[in-house]
Amino acid sequence: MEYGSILGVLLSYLLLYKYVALFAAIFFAGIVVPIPASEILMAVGAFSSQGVFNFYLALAVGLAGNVLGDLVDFFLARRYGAAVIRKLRLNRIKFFDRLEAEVRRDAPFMIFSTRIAGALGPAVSVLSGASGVPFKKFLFYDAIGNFVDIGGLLLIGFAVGSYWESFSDVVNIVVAIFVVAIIMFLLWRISRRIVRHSERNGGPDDPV
Amino acid sequence: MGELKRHPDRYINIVMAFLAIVLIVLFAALIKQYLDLRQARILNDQAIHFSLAGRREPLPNGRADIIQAWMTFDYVNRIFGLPPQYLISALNIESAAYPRIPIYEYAEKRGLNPTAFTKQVQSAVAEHQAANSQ
Repeated sequence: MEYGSILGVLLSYLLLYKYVALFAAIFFAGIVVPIPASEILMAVGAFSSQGVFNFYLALAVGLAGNVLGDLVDFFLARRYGAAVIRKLRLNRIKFFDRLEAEVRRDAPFMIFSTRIAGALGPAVSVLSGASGVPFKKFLFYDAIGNFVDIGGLLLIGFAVGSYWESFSDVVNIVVAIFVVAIIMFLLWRISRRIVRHSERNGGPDDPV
Repeated sequence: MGELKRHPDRYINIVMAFLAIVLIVLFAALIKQYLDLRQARILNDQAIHFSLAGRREPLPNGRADIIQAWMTFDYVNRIFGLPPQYLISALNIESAAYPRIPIYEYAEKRGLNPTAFTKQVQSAVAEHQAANSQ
């Protein structure tokens, strides 16, 4: 790793400011800032195995940071989402109405699974806020998904210890596979609904 | 194109086919990573077992090359079980911030090349390990 890289600087801050730096990094990654959160969590897992961090405290701080970051997206979208949709005239597109309906219908699966597939997390938080997913439902699945994600990454880092960097590429590929699989699953469900809708109405569906 | 617009599920099928190809490429990359880790002798029971069983123990000889510029001296001392004064004398470190300062930051403040200075830290740690293993 280059010493001037973003990850390198963040790791230095983690060693210097420990839980404060961990909370800040995961919170901003949760909002949408492109921070390599998976690598950070694996590194913290490794640091825990070396006695630099406390594993359970790191899990609690990471979970709090990520959930709060997701809630910022959720509430911003809930507060300003409708205005932005009107301004961009997205409300005139039938597909967008349908997307909102799909998000509401699949909320538990989408929220839970995209916490593990990091890149999609902020997008689904925003969609959940804009499409009126109930707050308690969002919080419940968000917290469970983040617990599995953060706990899993910390555990991997803890298990492989000082070899964590060698395993970070593997983890990134597994996450990418998960992201593609989630998108395929959701598209398959949407496709099935469209076909059923067409069959019920006796003709092809109009996407817009 | 008009046909596709009338049948949006066909858009989805095209995207699904593309994603299936991406999925195959990702699985191939995963297998390559697995083989690389095996070849580098990282993915074996010994490496994982060491970390799980030997946590909080100093790293063994021959691992000084894991030291990187982003690490603080405090962290290096801890993971290699070095006395705090060892690196001060071995590298002539003069900084009130020691050991809570990253290696690259110390090197930059002293006008040294961070990469070259990190190599010096690795050598000093390897020397300490060699001397203490005899």
